[in-house]
Amino acid sequence: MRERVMPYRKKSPGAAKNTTNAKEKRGKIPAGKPVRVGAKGKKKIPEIALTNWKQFADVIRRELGEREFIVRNFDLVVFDGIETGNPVEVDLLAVARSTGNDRRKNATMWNAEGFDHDHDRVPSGKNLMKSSMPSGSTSVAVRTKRTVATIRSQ
Amino acid sequence: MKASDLTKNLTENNGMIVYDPNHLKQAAPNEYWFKTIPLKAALLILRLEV
Repeated sequence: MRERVMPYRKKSPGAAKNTTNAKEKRGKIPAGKPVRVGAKGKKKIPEIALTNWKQFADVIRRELGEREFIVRNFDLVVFDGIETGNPVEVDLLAVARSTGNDRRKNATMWNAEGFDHDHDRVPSGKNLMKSSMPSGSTSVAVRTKRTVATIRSQ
Repeated sequence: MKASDLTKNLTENNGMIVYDPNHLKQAAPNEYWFKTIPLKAALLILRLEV
């Protein structure tokens, strides 16, 4: 089933009429509200498609107001098993939609011994970003620096 | 930190999950300790239009 996500349009005086799409005009999607997507029976995380990342601040301000927040960025798609010559595409966006996280259960890297899933069980406070990288990992989800920040939304 | 700093290296291949900090015990680069399941902690998913 195709996910429906409302694109974000910056609101500006006099431009309101131009920000509604056909579905909004039919009243199926309230203008200015993100379409909620996700599996049935689970919490559906609001999802917003931006035109460019410069809209981020405006969207956060609109959606969260003065609330503090923490962000985590992730690759929408990665490939597992590239060394096998038969890589498997993994849709991390779908994982994020259904779990709220981009760490899938069967990822070799995330589930390597000593990785921070172990911290969840026995938090040590130690950052294992470099030392825990397993050699011969079968994932190409390169450990890019994740953006972690708590900032005011203005 | 400016909001633009959070997105300056992002491309159309990236997405972003926005969490409620009240649902996390601790957060560090690449490490997140949730008080609850991440699905409850997540407030928004952001990405670029396809």
